Amino acid sequence: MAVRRWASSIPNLILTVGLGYFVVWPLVAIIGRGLLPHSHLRLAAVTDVFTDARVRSVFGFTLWQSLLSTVVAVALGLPIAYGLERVRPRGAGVVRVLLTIPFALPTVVVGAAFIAEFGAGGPLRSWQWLHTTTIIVVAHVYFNLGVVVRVVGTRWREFDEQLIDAARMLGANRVRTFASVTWPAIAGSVVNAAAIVWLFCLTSFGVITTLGGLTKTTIETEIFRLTTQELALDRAAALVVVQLLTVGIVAVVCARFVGSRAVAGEHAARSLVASRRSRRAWSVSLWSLAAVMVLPMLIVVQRAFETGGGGFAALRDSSRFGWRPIDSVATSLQSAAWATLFSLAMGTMAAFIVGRRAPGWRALNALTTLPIAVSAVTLGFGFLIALDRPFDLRDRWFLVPLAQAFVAAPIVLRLLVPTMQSIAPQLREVAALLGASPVRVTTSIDIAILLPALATAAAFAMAISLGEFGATSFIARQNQPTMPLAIARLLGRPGIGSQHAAFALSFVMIAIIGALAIFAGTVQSAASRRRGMFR
Amino acid sequence: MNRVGVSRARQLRAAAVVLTASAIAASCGSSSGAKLHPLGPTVKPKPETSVTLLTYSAFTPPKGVFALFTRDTGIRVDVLQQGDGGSLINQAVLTRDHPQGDVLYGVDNTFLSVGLDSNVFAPTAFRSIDALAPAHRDLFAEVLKSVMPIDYGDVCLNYDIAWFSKHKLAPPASRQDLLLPKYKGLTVVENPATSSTGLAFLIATIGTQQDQGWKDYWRSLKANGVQVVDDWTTAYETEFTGGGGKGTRPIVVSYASSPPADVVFSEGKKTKPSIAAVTNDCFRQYEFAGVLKGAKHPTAAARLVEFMMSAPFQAALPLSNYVFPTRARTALPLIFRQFAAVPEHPLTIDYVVLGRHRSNWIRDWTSLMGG
Repeated sequence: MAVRRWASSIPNLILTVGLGYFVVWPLVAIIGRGLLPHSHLRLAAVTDVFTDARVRSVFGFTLWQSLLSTVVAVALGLPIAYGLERVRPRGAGVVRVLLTIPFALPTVVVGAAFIAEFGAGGPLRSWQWLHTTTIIVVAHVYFNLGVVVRVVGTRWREFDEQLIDAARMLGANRVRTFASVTWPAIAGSVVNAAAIVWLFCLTSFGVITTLGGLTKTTIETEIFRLTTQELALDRAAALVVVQLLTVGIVAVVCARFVGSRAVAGEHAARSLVASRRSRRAWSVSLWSLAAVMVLPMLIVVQRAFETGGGGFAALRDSSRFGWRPIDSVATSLQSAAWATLFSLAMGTMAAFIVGRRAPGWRALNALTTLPIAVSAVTLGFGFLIALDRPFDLRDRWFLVPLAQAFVAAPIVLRLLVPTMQSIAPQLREVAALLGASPVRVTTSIDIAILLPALATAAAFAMAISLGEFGATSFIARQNQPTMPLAIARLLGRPGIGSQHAAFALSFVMIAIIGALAIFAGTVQSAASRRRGMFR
Repeated sequence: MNRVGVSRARQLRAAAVVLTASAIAASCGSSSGAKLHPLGPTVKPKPETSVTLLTYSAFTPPKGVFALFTRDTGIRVDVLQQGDGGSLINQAVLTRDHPQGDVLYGVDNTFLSVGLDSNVFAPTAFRSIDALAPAHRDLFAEVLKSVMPIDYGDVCLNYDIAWFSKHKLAPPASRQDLLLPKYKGLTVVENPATSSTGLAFLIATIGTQQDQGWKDYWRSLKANGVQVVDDWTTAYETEFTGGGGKGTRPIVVSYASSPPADVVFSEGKKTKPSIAAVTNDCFRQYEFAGVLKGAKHPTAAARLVEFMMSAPFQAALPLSNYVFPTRARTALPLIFRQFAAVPEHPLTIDYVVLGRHRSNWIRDWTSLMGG
């Protein structure tokens, strides 16, 4: 017992110190600069914020668009996850990959593609979606559908179909079976997925500014404006506090829910025996969904090749922009590789604590989630004013991958925890009884069962770090921008030539992320297929 | 039992593949990339052999020009580009105790007062004050002890010549014309809260009087179907008919230098511009450079600012960033002499006034147009 406590408190300490210095301290520093200028508290800013009618409407819109986006994403994602993981029609793997790619694309790319689709001269201009809540929700769902499908799907795939057969045999109808067998098994992952999606939508920035237009302002865009344009740190800090409180309340509710719903189940993977007709119906609907998902990417491809590859030539031409856009690919890959290692390490350590509900798991869960729960601009400005003491870390090479890892770690954690919780504790007890050391128990039971989820997590982490924009834009050495920064810079430059180069680079990025998603999908399905075979 | 063991071993192998792949990618990157990409270990620079220039992300360093500086002085220039002019100066204020670089370049006259009020610039005796064209020197006489105006651009209305001739309509001659029914739904402007171009146009509509007349102007403009977008690129490249995209609006807020830029962007397809600038009601936007207080390399920083005022750098500005040099008697490229619009009376407003009112104007404008 003493050993186990010790074993979980070391990673807990590492994570707490790391997150404390790199996330909490910058956050405290920037909020402190706003609310405690010259060391005396200015609460007026906070009370002003709560009484300001504009802020109230901004807050209301933020909640509304984020909840709506989450509900739609989950409602669409659940049947898709079911279809992909239980029915598994032909081409399910391809559809899964297509659904995952958008999540990793930087909002600048998707924003540009959406504008090309719905904006001036676009094929869907007549729908008049630009600058409406609709397009914001559609874009959020577009980005996050993959999260729901992956997070829930990973859990659903491991769900034992025999339980359903048993329930049906005992006379339960479909609804009853779902409510009392399927739902308890997947509920944890659904809540997890919803929580991630909701956090992303709540703090989403690029989608709101590029597609929302003038009237659509969220807490996040307001914090950005107040910080970068008006240097009104007091009001910005007050909004950060509001944002944190909102997130905190939901996090507590979710943690409770997830904690109470852990279900131990046997690991089985068997595809549903569906009738040929219903398989075909599933196949058709999943493929049409894939077609919709691929449309914005096609626009990117079309724009990239519009000039017969002129955009690609410009990527290698250093004389044109003063820097070679193609170099950003190497910068990004290198940074993302480090970020993947960092976030897998962090996420796995955290998953062991959160998944086993070791002492302090709630606090750690909240702490790990903090980087995606706070606005990137707050964190970015926080880095600038906090990480110069005791050493000036602001231009160290590891800061970019580390920041990206912090953004990816919560997803890694959430992908691992449901699987982790499904490991029957008896397995570990039996192993221990048979004389396995705690390390041996961890490697041959926990890690082994976690592997497919780890593969998914690695791919997600890599994809998130490749696409990360907000925090990176504050700390990246900008003469060596990452791909999203390079794309944003090219898009922001005058001249149709640089627009084409931007789309060409976006195409390269889509290709890389697609390759990653295919790789993860192959590893994952290979792993679960083998497991099914040897059952 | 044995079979389970086998399958587990395979899973372990599968995950090992993932982990090794990313480990390899990481290590490859760090070994080969150390020289090319500063994501590898950073080398501490020796004193005064390098200087870091902080600027906004849209700035394009003129080709090969910093190399001239390095050749003459032995000082390497690292360019650190972040955000726009507004966030650039605000970051400098926030990091006042430990600035991220030595020279800040790109803060404009609408944001200059933020930097000056917070004392982010170190007082410097610039020799190149004498090289400034007198008109610019007189305008900023009292700030020249800490910053230098490096370049300027005139924000003016632009229109698509072909569109207006095709529709047999006379192009607008002033911003007042935009309120006419015949120009309904033809104009796209940038949001002053997010775009410095948009802010410049807002200031142009406020003018020197600073009375409340500008609000009526914008109410009418809104009623006449003006479109507001977030940034210059969206306005010009996407919504404007004369830009790169398939826009639908033939009038846009852009620059006096947009006509020559139009020819350059066409990459040889155009010999003369297909867009023109309205020379009335233009606002002149200046961009400043200064040495940051607390800079690690103050001597090199001062030399860099002087270099930015030198003839080679100034002459390279028009074709790299489509702005005009402030140095007296700097020859403009032919294409600028041929096609750049020359505003008759560009509006210049005291930077102190701009600093005092900027936030309020933006706030009023936002509630006027957003609500």
